Amino acid sequence: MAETQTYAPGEHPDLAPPASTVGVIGWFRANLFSSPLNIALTAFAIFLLYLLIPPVVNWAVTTSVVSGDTRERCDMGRQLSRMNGAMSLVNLDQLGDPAQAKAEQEVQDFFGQFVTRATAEGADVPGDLRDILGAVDVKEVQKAIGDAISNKDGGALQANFAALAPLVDWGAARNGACWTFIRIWFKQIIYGRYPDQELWRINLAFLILVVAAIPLFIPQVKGKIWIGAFLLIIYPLIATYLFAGITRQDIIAWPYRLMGWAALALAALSVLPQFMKFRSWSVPVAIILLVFVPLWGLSAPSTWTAGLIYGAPGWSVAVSVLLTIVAPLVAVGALFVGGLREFVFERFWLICIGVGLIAFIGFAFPLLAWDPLAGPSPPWAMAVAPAALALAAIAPWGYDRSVGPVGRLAYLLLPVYLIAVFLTLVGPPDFLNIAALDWTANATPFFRGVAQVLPSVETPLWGGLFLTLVIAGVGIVASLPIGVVLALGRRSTMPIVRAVCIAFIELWRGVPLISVLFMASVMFPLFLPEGMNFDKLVRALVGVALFSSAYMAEVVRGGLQAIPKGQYEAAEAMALTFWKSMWLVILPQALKLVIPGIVNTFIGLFKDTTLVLIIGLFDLLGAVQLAATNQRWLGFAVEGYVFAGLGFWVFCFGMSRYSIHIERKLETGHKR
Amino acid sequence: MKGLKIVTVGAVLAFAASGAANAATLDDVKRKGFVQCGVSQGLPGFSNPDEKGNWAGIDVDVCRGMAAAIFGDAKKVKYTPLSAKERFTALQSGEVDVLPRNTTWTLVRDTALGLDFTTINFYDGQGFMVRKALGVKAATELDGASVCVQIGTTTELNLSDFFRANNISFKPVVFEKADEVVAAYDAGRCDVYTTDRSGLAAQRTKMKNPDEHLVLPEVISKEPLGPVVRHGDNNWGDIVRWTLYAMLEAEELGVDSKNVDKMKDSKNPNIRRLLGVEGEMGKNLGLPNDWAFNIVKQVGNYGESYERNVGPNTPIALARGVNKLWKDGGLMYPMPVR
Amino acid sequence: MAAEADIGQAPGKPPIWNDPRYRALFFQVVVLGGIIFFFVYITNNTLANLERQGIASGFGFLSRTAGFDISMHLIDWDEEMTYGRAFTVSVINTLLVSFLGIVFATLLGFVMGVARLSRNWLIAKLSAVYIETFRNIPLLLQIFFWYFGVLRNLPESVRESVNVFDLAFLNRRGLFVPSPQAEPAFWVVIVLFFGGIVASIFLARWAKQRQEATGQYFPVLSTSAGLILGVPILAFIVLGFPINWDVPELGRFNFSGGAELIPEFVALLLALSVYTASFIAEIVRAGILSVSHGQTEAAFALGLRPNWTLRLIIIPQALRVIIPPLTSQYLNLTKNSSLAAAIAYPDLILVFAGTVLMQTGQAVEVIAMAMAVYLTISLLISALMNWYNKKIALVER
Repeated sequence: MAETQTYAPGEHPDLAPPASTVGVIGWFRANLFSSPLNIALTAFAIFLLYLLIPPVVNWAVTTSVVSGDTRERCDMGRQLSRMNGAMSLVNLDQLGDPAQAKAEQEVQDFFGQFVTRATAEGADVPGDLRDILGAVDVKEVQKAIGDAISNKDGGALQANFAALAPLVDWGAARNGACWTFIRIWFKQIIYGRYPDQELWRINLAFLILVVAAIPLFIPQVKGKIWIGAFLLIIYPLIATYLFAGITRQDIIAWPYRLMGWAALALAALSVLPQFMKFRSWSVPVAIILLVFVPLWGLSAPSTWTAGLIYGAPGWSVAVSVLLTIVAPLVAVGALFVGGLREFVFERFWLICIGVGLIAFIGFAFPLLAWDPLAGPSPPWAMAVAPAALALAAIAPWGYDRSVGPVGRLAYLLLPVYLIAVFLTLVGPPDFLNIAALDWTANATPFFRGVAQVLPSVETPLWGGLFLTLVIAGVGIVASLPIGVVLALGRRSTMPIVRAVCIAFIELWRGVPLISVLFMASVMFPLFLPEGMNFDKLVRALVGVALFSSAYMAEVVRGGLQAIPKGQYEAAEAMALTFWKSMWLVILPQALKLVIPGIVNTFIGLFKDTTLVLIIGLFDLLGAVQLAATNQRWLGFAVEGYVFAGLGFWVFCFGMSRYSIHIERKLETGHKR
Repeated sequence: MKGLKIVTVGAVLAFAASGAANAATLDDVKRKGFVQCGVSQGLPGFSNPDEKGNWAGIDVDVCRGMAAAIFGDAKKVKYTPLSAKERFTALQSGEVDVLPRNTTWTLVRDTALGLDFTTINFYDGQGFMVRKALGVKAATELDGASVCVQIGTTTELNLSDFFRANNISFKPVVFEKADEVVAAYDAGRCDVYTTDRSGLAAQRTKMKNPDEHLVLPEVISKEPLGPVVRHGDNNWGDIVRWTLYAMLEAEELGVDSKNVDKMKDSKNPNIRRLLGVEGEMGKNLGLPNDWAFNIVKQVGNYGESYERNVGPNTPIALARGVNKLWKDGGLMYPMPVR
Repeated sequence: MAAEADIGQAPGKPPIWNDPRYRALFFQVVVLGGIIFFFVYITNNTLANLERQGIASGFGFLSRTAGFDISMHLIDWDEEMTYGRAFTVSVINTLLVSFLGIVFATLLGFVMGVARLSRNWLIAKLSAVYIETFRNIPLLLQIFFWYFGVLRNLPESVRESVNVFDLAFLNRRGLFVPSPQAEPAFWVVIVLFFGGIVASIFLARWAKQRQEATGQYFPVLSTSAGLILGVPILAFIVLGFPINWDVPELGRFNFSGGAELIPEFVALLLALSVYTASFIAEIVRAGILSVSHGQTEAAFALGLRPNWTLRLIIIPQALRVIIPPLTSQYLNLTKNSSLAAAIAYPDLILVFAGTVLMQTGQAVEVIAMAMAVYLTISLLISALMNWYNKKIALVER
């Protein structure tokens, strides 16, 4: 007799929840069996898993083959299994029936293939199989089976087949995935046809990348901006030279490139502050400089050095030397002559335009008489480049009489620059023999001594995962800045700029990447002047970069739109110029907002790199495809695809997790 | 506006400037120091890289011969593997200097594509390969068959022509790469694999089981294969043409890579002219006078090249057939070096 | 004006280059000039290159005889037709695979998206595994997997095809299914079907007007279903099944008759649908999650029944979030169909930018036309989407 216990209201002790709602059982009830529909779904899911998982595990792990150096290792197990499969279709009582003739034939064929492989001279037979073969004389059995089938003797067939039981068991344990295939082709799949003795270069570049990138992911590390700058600007250069190799020409070219870029930077730096202050008449000059100096400056370093390497016509060198020496000498000389100095300052913009005109004639005239066969460097670039650089160097004096630190730097650099140009262009040994300037044969003695440091590896040899990472990396690094500029342009108030940006973005987003790649591979060469052409990989990279920058622009635009209007207005109220307000106020916020979007674009780009295989570059998938269509290794495509798929999946899934992680981290920052 | 003016002037000047003069490929090649050679992405016997990336084949020998003629060093060649789609653009744009990529000489290609065919280094014809198990004995029995073929080749057009002419139907399955075509046929996607008969022979050796396959007797087209150059540079075309003629002439005169040094002392004026002992044949081409000597010495004569790459002792095992010299009843007829 | 003058000395007019308007103008002129220069430059180069090399140009090639065959064509095609016709054939093939891909991807994507939110743990996880697997593997790899990995492992010989009731056959050559051949009477069914659609539209309008005027409800959905599907099916039965099935029969090399779905088509369709569905599933999930639970509770509080809540409250709001990204997935699918070129499905890229390009050698014209087709499709769909977005956008007060 249970006693009824009474409690005052609110005094009842807490009871344990019903057993069916807690613990493992509760979880199962709630999550798997809550309703009839749910039970049915659970059953369905379990059935699906049963269909999927055992065969896949069986194929990939249990019965897979990893050892060996030839495909025979994989083939023997498969042939025995197929023989067994064919045998199971044979009805022993009806031997010779046309309906099962094919099965009978297959039993003999597959076994025959196995016997040929296993007993061939120097065959790659694993130890355990050798033991079995020692016990069974397969050639005898093969003959006996053939006789039994032709004699329609079911009993004999069965008896002989039974003797093969250990072989069949051996085969059944080895008829799954052939990872040997991946092992043999592993180097190709990772590095392509890159020469073996040079592989350390790829590994080193990758190591540098990892070591440099790790601090970016540690919150405590300061100065990430410098690491980022290193990764985005210096590292690509290092990697390029590591991958492609450094030749003597590169070593010669580098000082010039640096000099060209230094002058370019000087010109930009010295012009910008004045551009912003809007004080004097020098502004139009500054604008002209700003437009044309980068144009010339950019074309100069690369084309100029190329011209040196391949040898340019004498006249272009002559014009170049003349402009290089005369223009700055006049300018520098004027600074030291008392009256002339004032004269120059007062007419500075006239002189600048004069020098510009000379340079322009130097630009236009050679163009008219341009010899298209002078190699990939148009001689005008050679002629104009030094003038442009000189112009850039004297620019700071134009509007600032007190010659600021930047101007002084240019002032200091100019003589060094002139001497270097003189020495290399004319050089002591060939002082007047300018026409003999052929750098492959006639390098000045100093440079002739410089040996090749890293042998060059041509891009057709690049491939595999390495190429995938190169393409994705270049696309990622190039698309972000271009994308930001395009996004700003699309939101600009200037109608032409906006229209151009919209057209660009929509054009690239509206067409498939494959057509862009086709364009890069078959149309792009026609756009270039005769005699000028780029490597196929470079063309593909340009296509990929433009394509992904259009997508990046849309992502960044989303971020820009999400910034409240107040931020723009506040930046304007602080009297920040457009670029300052973007750089200091808007972009940091906007980019932070769209990091997940940016990472998603990267994931898309990473997956899209596979398309380059259609234009004949062998990335990770391309290398797998190459291996799978190799006639000696036909039949292992699935293993290859599974391996490549796993590779891509690890990268993409990792990136997407990272993007989610960042998203969560940033979200807390916005909570109030 | 000033800016506008400058830009306009610049545009006009640039516009006026781009009318280009004729190209002298030879000067360009000499300046670069190597011949840039457009080859296939891998066709055994014609142009195929080994595991170390060294190219070999009868097409490759054309480039090697040219390098020997120009530089005296057959190794001064760089190879650009090209798909059927890219090959002409690559040549037109100057990416390669010469294209000896088993390319069939046709009227359209010679005229509408801005190309010049120089001469023929291999006479071929299109054929069909089927599985023996199908029991087909002639191509006309192939009604309704599906045919694996490489895209953008004359093969694809000949195929259509042949079936149309015989009023039978077929289903084409076209792939971009030769390897994929073969893999598709080998995997049973098609009944028939069609390409040039030399290609059939080469690919058959690589099948899983070569004996299961049969090359049908019909030759449905003429496929004269030869190196191609850009239109408009006749001197360069001459060099390609005469490189081949020199190899053929050497064979005709019995000069080969082994006896070429001795042959310099030969009394035969033809040999003396060819090897540059007499006359100034090289100079007319803009080459050193020992151009043909270098070709034969380093690459060999045509017969040697044939035997080494596609001859009966190679896995491809093609009999010389119509590619014999004219005096042996073939079609190879080198023009006289004089 | 007068008041302005009183404030004090008006600052002098800034010099012309400091005036933002003029600076903007100058900058734009420079940009425009640069772009014009760029286009003039490449056009000029291209023309010079074409002329120098004697390459034919212009679109005259479109009316020349093609001379090659195409393995799959929905409209008539033989070798004697023109390149222009080949263009049309290939565009139709592209549109076909895109359209079917969109249909299958949407169905699979919605199922998977809903399954991802299922209260059944196992189903939700299975769906998550599906989504995370397929969206993180490149599409081209998936196409290869289906084509080279799966379809190549089907029975090789025609006689061993997977046989479905002697009606459909599957082997390495493709999927062979009976194709319907309409008898004349079948047109009645079609007319009734479209008539049903038109009638349903009018019915819906009428029902809405009546509901707004009187508050009475009319079951539009079930009536429309009856009109669009029921009546034609009834007519179909009454007319005595006016359709013939052309069943595939075994020929010497392959099946003849019936409809043949080439394996390239099957593989491409499969890969496109499975890949895009994994993205659609995520979109659907996000869409459903975006409707806050308060909406459901509010609807219940108003006395709406659950299925009405779903139809009137949840779905319209979820769709507003789902439709824009869904459209961009459709666009992606259409563009991705160009990967057909890798496995020999005769789409625009393979036939036109492949065979035609190589036979004519006119790369510029051919690639430009191919790009224009994709661009047109993209712009059309974008325009449609913008219009739709405007229509369903929240009208804020």
